[in-house]
Amino acid sequence: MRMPEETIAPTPPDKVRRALQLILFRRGRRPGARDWELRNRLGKDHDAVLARVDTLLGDLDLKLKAVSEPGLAEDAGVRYLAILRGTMAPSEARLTGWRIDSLAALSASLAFVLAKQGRVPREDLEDLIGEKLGRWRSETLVDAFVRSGYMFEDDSGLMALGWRSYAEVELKDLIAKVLAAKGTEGVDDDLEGLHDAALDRP
Amino acid sequence: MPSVVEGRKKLREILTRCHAIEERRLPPFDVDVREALHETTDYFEGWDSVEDLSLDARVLNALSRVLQVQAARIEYEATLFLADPQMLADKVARLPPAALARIFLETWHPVVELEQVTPEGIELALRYWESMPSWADRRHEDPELRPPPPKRVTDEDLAALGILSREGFFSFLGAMWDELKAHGKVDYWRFVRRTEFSETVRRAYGVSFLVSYGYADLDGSGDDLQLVAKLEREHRKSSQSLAIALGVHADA
Repeated sequence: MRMPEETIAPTPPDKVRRALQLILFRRGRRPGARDWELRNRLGKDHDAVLARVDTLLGDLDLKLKAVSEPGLAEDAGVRYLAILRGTMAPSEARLTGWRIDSLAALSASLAFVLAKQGRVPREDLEDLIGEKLGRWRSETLVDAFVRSGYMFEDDSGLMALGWRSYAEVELKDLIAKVLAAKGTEGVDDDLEGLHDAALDRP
Repeated sequence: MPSVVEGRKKLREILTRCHAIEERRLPPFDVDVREALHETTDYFEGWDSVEDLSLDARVLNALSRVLQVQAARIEYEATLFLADPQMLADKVARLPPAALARIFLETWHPVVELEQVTPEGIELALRYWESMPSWADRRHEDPELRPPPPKRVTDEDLAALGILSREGFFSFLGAMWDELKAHGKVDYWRFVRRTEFSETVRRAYGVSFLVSYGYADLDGSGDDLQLVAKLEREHRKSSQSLAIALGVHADA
């Protein structure tokens, strides 16, 4: 499909293109690019290049986010990721491949771990999810959260927030909204529709 | 004086509760550390055996870890904008899934990434595939083509590989210090960078020792780093780590 000429963006300089490729294409276990990697590949003006990348991403309702690796010292550097600038409407959420009940369980898990000072036994988390979704589903969901990086499970079976939670979720906002929510809120029609989403990542 | 049997029972109870707090099975303030310490002090005089003293030490150790958990909890509550964690946990349990999902969507900015095979990548992979000998051929490869067996490496071999310097590390540092003194104050990259990348790495390695040992100072930050030679070694009272990335520029 040919785009109208006025909407075609000017060809980005080589460094901007290279930075976008480094940030958008997954090359390792995690998406994004580490700061030292970008410095090495982009040279001295990497800050200016990243600012340009952020502007370009902004046109697509995306933004560049620098995230510290959880568990590592602050001077261990950051990872640059492209994330959605705004948020998704419930009707768009099915695009992510998560079912409504999976998202609800994830939301509850994040708030629960935060309420318990950042670490909870896996069984407690499974009990919380199992209360609403059943035992079998709670186990598979917790596994899915760990696999996708939203949760982290240490050797002693304690669950903590994973790197993806820090990168993607505004945790303070989440707490504020959970506390402010009314317990009697009903099920939205647009959310209800997502129960039948065929794409279920976990 | 309280009985030894009673004391052992009490200390074991405290220990069990401390472990439960550490494993997040009990709330952090379920043990009153001050009171528990008083109790251990009361029983202490009655301990004669190594086992009892060891139990006492384990209780003290567990109480110190409980204090850590309690301190972390207070710090954490402060970051929650005074939100009560228990209230938050109760709220999570009470909210219907749809409300939780909506809240999550309002605070979620998912990571965007691409997975795509490019024509260039396919071409490269195809060329590699075509030139790769079959598994059977590789298995029956001529034994003579296999790498030679391991042998002892001599200092001469290491020197030839550039791992061990013939001139000695300290004379290398001395020469570099003399060179730096001749400059006085110089831009770090001007001093370190050479045409050969290996030489650049070698000089950066040497400079790191000069700075750590107090023969030079490194001022500035980011790309603006200045090396200043010292006329005499200065014994540093404190140190600070600085990571400097070296790499070959992709355009080079």
